[in-house]
Amino acid sequence: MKNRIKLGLFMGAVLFATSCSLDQDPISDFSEITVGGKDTTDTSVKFKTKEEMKTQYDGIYKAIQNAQEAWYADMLVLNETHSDNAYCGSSGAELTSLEQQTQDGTNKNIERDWNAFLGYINTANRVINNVDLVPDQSLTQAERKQWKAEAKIWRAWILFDMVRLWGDVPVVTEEAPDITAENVEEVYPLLYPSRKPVAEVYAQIISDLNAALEPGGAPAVNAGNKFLLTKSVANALLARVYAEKPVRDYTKVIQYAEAVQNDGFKLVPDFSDLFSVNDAKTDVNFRNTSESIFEVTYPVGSGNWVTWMFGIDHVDPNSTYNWAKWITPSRDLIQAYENEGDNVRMNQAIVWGQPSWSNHYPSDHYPFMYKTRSKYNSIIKIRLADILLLKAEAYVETGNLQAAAALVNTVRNRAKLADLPATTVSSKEKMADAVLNERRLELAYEGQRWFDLVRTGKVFSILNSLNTRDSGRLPMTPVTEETVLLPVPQTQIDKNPNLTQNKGY
Amino acid sequence: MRNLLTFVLLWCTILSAYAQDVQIKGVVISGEDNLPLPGVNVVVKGTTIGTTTDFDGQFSFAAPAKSLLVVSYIGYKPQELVADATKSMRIVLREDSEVLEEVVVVGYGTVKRKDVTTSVATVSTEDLDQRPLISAASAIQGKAAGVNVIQPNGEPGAGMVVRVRGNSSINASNDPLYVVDGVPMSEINFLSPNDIESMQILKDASSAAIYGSRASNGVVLITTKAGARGDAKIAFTAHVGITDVAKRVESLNVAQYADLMKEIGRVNLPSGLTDQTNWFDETYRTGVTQNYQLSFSNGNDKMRYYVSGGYTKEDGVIKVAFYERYNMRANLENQIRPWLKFNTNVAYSDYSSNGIVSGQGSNRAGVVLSVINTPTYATIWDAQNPGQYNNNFYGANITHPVENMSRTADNQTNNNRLIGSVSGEITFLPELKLKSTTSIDRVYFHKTSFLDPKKTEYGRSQYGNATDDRSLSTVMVFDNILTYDKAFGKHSFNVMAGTSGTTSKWSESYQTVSHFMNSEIKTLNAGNKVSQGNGTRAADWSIMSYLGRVAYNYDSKYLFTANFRSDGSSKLSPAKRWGYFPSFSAAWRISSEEFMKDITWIDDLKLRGGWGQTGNQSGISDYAYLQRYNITRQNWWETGKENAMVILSPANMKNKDLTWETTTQTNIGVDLSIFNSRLVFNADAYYKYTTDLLMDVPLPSTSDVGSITRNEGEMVNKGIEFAVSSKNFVKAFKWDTDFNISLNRNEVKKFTLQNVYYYAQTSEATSENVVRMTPGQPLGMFWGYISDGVDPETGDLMYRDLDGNGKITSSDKTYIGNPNPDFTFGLTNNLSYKGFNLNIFFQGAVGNDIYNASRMETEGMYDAKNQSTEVLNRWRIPGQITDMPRAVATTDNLKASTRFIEDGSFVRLKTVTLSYNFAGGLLKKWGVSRLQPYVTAQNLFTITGYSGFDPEVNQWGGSATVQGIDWGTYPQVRSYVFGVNVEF
Repeated sequence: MKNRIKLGLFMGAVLFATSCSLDQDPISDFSEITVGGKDTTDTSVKFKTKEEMKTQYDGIYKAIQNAQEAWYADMLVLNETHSDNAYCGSSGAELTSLEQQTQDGTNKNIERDWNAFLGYINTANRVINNVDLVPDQSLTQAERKQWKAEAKIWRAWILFDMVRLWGDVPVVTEEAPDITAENVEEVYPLLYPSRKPVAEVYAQIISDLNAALEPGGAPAVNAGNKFLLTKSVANALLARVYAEKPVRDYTKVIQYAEAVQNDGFKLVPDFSDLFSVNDAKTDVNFRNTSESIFEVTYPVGSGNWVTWMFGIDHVDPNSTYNWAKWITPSRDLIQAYENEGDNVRMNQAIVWGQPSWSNHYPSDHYPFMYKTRSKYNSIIKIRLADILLLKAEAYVETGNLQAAAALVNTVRNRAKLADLPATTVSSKEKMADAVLNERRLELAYEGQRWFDLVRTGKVFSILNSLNTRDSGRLPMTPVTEETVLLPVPQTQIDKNPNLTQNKGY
Repeated sequence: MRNLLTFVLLWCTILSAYAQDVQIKGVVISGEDNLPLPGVNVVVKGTTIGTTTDFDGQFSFAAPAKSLLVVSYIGYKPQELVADATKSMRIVLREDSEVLEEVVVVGYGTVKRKDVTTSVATVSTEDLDQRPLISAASAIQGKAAGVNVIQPNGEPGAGMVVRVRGNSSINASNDPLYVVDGVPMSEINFLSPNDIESMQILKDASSAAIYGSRASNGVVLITTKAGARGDAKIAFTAHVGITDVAKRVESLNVAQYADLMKEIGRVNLPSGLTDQTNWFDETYRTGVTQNYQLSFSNGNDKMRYYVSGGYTKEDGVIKVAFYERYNMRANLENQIRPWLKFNTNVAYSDYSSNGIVSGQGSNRAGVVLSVINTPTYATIWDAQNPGQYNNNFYGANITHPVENMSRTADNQTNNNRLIGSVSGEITFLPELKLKSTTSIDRVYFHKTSFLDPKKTEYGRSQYGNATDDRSLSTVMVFDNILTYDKAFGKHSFNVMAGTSGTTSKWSESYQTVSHFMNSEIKTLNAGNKVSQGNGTRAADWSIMSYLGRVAYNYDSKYLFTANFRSDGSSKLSPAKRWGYFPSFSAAWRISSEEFMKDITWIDDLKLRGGWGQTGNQSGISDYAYLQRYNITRQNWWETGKENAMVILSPANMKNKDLTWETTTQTNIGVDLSIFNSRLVFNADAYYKYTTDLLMDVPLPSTSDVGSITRNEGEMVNKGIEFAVSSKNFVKAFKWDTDFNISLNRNEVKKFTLQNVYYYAQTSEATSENVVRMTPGQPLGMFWGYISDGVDPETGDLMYRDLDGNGKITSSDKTYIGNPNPDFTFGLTNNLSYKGFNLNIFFQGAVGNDIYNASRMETEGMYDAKNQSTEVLNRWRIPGQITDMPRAVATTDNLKASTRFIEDGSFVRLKTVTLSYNFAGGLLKKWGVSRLQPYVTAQNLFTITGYSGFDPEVNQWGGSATVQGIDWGTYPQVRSYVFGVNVEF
């Protein structure tokens, strides 16, 4: 009996002494265990040092540099292909439907833009809401104010693009709260805000831009670095904002345009200086030109990838036409240049090549978008000529046709074109058309055309007759008051019961 | 301790105290054909005294007179009789048609078939050596009710998708746990089917719960071969076969293509093009499969061994694809002392494979679609640029299949796997045993790729590229299992208790280099530009388990089993670390009741019922509960960053509440065996409810991280399954039939945060997601428009305007198909006469839909890609009635719709094998005990309405959320095989 008890004890010991440790710490991941020195109990302060905060501030510019898809290539599709300047170039339904005005809520590109834009706003909010909380006093008050102002310009700009594309959109100014497993079910709905009326969106945009203009806010223009969200950018955006119907105020357009002019911007003498690459084909000729108000720069060593979407890379001798290219120049735009005899600007906007395909044109003489022609080209988001023509638009609308004509002529003369004829200058209606046409020729493939057509209300008359003028265009469904706005992505509506679909989709 | 040893030694010596021995001799013959039986065990009951019969069935050994002999042989009813030393004994053994005495392996033990209280399927391994199987998992296909096995594509070495009673998880794995000779693992590619002795599948929770947190997808228990007493056996098996694509899809010739292009108007073709290349013939070939295996085995009273080595090679029907395996195994068992037995299994396997780019359009190097999409006017090579593939298609945005194959031609994935286990079993008392097992499962994974810098367009754009990934994974398991079996009177108890500790160590190195001068040197040292993404990493995890079982059996009439397992996992936060998995099952053997005694034609009638819980933790990453950070490298070559460090950013949403999925399953079943086991019938019904479904819930782009991993939902699977096994003829002409049929219904019951998920984006023509998942629906439902056919006036599809708003928008989408079959079945007929044996195996599924996304590219007619000859029926003039829409340069006719939904029901003659077993004096003289050549055809024909290559298809492989989508998928093959089994 004694033996049996001992036996039992022995076997019990064997069974239960063999246990392996369940404490395994990560070997190659940093985790809450190894990210030392951080007080994980206090979650009210996210960024504790200047360095940590600066990564977030730098993150805004990094995001802009990386926004080549959603905030540049897709914006070109929405402005040029979705209007009359370009064909889709590739056969995917996301693009063909935008060319044909038959886009719907399942469009993948519209979905990625919606998501990307909300993400950009989050990068801005992270700076705006945290910069004042950083306990590290080596981050000066001046720096805090400036970073916040720059972030607000970025947030306003994205909201401005969103409100023009979708109408009512969510206005998120607070950061998403920290989710934990405990609170996720309560917090989750807060992550999916509802859409705010257009007026509220504009109020937020204007308030953000005004805040950036306050003394000590955004930095002043820096001639050597136009990849900076400066007061001039805020002024330029305000000029654009006040030209829009919901908050239209032409006096303010003129006022903010003048504010931009007073910051010392000048048209470059030669139009090609804005876009050209050097003869050795190793870099662009110029960056940060006197005309440029905001450009995203891609110096040698980094480079953009997006140029590959539009044609060959003109600084890469090995570059070939290996994929269908987006933004194929339309016959209608080429005709517009030819009508005006405008070779200077046409030759900077369009280049001809010999790809293997013949989707829109014969392959031996095939046009490509030329403006962002190399990986080292900057993406120019705002330049002076745009603001001058916007000011001209405001002058026309306020009846000051001579002042408008003077501005238009400045831009035309740089393109080696004669002044507008007197018959045009004397008619408000003709002047309005002339300004719109000038903007088209000057700013083709800079992401303005659709916004111009919608802002001036010409979108219906121009696009709904386009199939009769442009033989190369896919058959279009008429644009209506409802389809002027893009559909809200269906997947987002599925996730977020607060979101509504735009009428017409 | 000393007392213990004394006790054990004492107990051993008692056994050998014995009296006078006499010589006992005789012959054992088979009652069926009166031929002598070699290799029969003849032992004195309760001892190890005895021998095995020789080649002529003779035996002779010394034993006490009048000993009680036990005569046993696999497949025959054992016999007990008193030894008669006065003459040469003649013992007749009868074949054992009685399946009830067969031993069934359950987790950490065995039971007799008649005492099983749970749902355990036994896969017949009898005909395994006459089926040219490459993968062990394919042995299960169609052979077990409730287990659905799909080969999602025809690529050599493609993983089989094994689903026991449906999909119970969304993000975690749905693969069963495999336990090979007691070693748990997640896949069995290393295993040669020739080495398998038996296969059992624990289907319900009450059987699987003993494997706790890894068992919710069922458990496949595999035992490999062991040596047998008798003469040493040398067995050689070989088969060689050819494979081809079961179906051919024709594409348009140049003239037809040119007509089509005129209608679409996207490209302008030069005149005078002629047919140059048949892309089908350039891509597909006749593949060759070969398999050889040699084994040696033997055993005696104390020791048994089985040693084998094998080689398998499968060359795909698409030129660059292959699978190759070398495998070796040694199984050894020794009774070192009467109270101590040790057992060791060592298996080593080296297997390599390569595949193609599939699941991509011909614009992204998809091989299968580019065969159809490449116009026939094109040549393979570019005449202007020697050494480069031709890619001038006048605007068709494609690359041709030869170029696409070359993209992966220099890639290879190689695994070296060593699985070894050593166990010792100590018998303390006849009823009390301790088995201690240590096992190691080590996998060295090595994957290399090389992209030629010149030949392909993509290669030129990358200037060549090479990658090299290696990982080493070591999983060690230490099991201690104590069993106590006691019977008194009609009561019998089996008690088991044990512990199991598992530790895993894993490390990986991943390197990428580009800019190669040429393709002469393919290793990474020859590339100039080293990727910023290179590095190494490592991770560990561990599981500790306590387990136990109590089985009570009254007279094999009332049976009761309870299992319990408790698992602790390092992947979960300390507070949530432990999970508890209980199960209970009971059975009533009605046929043993007094009132059934007179019904002699019923051998066995048993009702079974069980309930249990199992877990699934495969969806939890190694350190899931911790807040982790991504590491981003800075560009150190940029000015000002020369000494920069990495940047950290949040990688996940910390979730301390994370836990495993729990599946609660209830099972009832009935087993019936009648007419002396000539007809055996099993039926089961089950209800599986899974809670705490692990899911990655996407967060909006306004959050710092993209998604949160949490226990988010609930899902149900319920079903019934039947298996019938019948011996129709048992005399000289034998005919057996096995049939099984399974029905499973799946439904997502609940999600907490996000209610709708979309999956399965295919052709870039539309980039639509075609699968929608939401509570109230089964997994995998297809989502799109209803197409009412081609409008005879316009030639466009007429989509149904479900919301009646006058236009077709995304709100007109609805559920348009279900990839889950109504039922699946398998039917095996085995006929034999004299030495001939004919085995016919049908298998199929009924009621499942397939979304044939490949047709969007082969019949879409929206751009400059060549199309299949199906488009010759396209609409051309107003008034024309056809189901093929017009050719037009838009994608309106390609919306996700019922146009691409097809019925995927099929019945397939999976295998038909004819073999002949030679017998005769000459063979005997040569010492050949078996010579059996056979011919087999696999996938000889398939009856289906499906228009693609094959209805057994899923480009998403083993995905639970996306099933039944054909999207440029590697086609299934048909094979003809000649094989031979020889034994000496």
